[in-house]
Amino acid sequence: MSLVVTNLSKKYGEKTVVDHISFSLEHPGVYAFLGTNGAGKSTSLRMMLGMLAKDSGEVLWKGKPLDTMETNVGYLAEERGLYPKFTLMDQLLYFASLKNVSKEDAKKRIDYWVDRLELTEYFNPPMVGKKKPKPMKADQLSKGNQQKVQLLAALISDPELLILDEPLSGLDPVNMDLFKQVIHEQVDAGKFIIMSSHQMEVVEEFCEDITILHHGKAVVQGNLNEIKKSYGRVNMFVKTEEPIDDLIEASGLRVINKTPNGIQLRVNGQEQADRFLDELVKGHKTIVRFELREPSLHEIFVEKAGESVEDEAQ
Amino acid sequence: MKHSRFHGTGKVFHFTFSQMMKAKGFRFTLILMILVSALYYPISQAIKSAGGGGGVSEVEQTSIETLYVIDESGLSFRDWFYFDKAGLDPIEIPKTVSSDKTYDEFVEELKESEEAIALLHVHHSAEDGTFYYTLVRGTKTPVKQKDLDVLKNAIQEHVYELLMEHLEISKEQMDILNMSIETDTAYVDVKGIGEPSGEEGDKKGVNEQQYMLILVLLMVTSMLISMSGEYISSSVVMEKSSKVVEYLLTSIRPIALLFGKIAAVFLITLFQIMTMLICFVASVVLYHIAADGMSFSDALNKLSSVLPFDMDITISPMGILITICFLLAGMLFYSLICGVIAASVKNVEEMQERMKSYTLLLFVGMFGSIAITIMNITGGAPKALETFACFFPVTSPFTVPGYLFSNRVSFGVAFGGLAILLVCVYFLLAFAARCYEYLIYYQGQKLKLRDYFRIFKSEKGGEKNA
Repeated sequence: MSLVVTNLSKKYGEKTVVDHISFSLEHPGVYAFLGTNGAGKSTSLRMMLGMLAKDSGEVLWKGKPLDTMETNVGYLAEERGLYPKFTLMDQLLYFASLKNVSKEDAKKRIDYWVDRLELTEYFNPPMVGKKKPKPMKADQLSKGNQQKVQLLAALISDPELLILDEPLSGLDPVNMDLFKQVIHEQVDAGKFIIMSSHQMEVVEEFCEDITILHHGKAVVQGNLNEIKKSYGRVNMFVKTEEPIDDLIEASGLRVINKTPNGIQLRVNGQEQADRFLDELVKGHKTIVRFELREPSLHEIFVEKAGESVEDEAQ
Repeated sequence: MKHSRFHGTGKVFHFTFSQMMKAKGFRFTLILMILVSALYYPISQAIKSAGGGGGVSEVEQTSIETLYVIDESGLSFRDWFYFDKAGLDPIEIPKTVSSDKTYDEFVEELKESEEAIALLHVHHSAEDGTFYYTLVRGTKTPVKQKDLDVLKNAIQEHVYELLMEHLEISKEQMDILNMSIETDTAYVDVKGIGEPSGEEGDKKGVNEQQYMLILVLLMVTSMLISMSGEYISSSVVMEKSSKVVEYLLTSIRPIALLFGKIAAVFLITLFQIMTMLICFVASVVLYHIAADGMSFSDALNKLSSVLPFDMDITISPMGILITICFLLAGMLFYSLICGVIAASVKNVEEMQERMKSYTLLLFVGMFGSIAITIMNITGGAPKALETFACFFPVTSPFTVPGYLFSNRVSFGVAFGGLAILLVCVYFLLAFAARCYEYLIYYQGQKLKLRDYFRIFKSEKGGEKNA
């Protein structure tokens, strides 16, 4: 296995912020860390990178303790940062030198990524008349473009392991697609990626394995498809032309959501769904939509985080 | 390959140095410093010349029409009319009259006089064995202070020449007679020669020249230390508040990050000081070549009159080496403290408030050293206090360099002070390495000294990182 995290824990005073997290990455791909705000995602990632002291646990990369000074790791921090008053090129060359990338290689990689991330106009601004424009500084860029420069910084050393803390938050749809493409390219290139996110649909698009953290604990963990299968096809969507509230009540089904597109109901399996369909037919209801499927990651996340909150309240 | 915890220091140094050199503020300050050091000497000479301070080769005019002389000294004066001895500022006084009146009578007259007259009162004090030449003007006369100043300088030189003439001795013999003679006592034992203890030995003040030298070196050290501290704190806080530090820490240990910055700031400050010094020396030499038509070597020799080469100082390679070591160690000492405190600061707005303890420590070091020097010039600080200042790491970087060059402390004391300072720097380095790592994510309230020690002692650390 390439990355093995075992029993990672962290306490701040009496408060446990990460509680014995364990997971592993066996082959290249994206591993997702999900959780509400303050769930312990960033703290876990910082401990893995060795930036924060861990109270217990072990992080192994290819059988040895992970040391970012020796392993080529790329990191995109949640709270992004660039030197506001230094030119973009200067700081990227500095970051590259810290990662032991030669100046020549760094310049080539910067050129490639500037082009790929559509940053050319900021790194090579067009001439104004005969005047050569001054090199741009970070504080002259929009937030989204600063985020692109930071992704560039994370990728500049062509890392084996890439840790992306909320990489897509705050991006517009166009740039979000660009970031997704880049992440796909990195996966295709055989990189190991750990990503934390709030955006469930994005995680579903990339990740095979996930951990959902809540208050520092892993409440759901494993292969995403298997997790979904374990829930079974319990999500039923029904839309009819006539009201069916009385039938739902008589069947004892739980309403999850009501929208103009239909009613989302929770069933405990195929049999209960079939029985409800019989009721609709017998009741001469005009069925516009009847769908039975596995829960989405979003639904699992909301349910698990909600359950944990309820458990704590009890 | 296992990297040391200082791996990457050189890269941080290179980046910090190049960015500081590129900064507009730095360039502006450097140009200002170059201008001040290059123009100070020529302008001060020009002002001096305009004010009659010297350097004028033509006969100067004075508004004094008659100079009355009351000579109660017993020395004979001849040729009051024209002061034109070699090397003097020539001055023409139309009329010199020897007055029969007493000093008090003449002063009474001078109070109401509106004529362009002045009085030269020559007398001898048996108490201190000094000849006094006092020039007096009435406030209602057209004679200005400037006229008296010009005359005062000329008279001093004139009397000096008169004395040589009267005693029939050469200038060299006169210089020998004027040499200061100091008597001292010492003891010798198995350890070698030592200075006597007790009240005599304890209270030996500094002269004005030594005071100036100590003050100049103290200012240079203070400039180096406070500039580096200021840069380090703002740089650490900026990296923390802009969150760049999170990215940097994946490639470099925090202590290497801090160390690289300190090294860059040291070199930059040294560069500024050397630039100022070179500009000043060049301006003095070029001024004398251009204004006085001197040869390069003569102009270079003129430096001895503006630089403290004739002071009672000892410049030895060992002294210079120790001074550089003290500057470096002092900078490290204060910058490490500064870096650790700055790491606990959340943003730039909080910085000034949180840095108060550092500022206080810097003031204790600087002003403690100044206070001891002032005590010395006004009579003499106890030797024990002086020695303490040389050993105490807070004051030693400010005290030892100046005291070493002015022969107030021995090499033994200097080495002892340096050793203590280096030991403190070593422990501070270990302390800073541990605290800095834990504090870099700290977002809480101001920490007290015991909190820093708790972080240092903590095996796991990081409790304060929340």
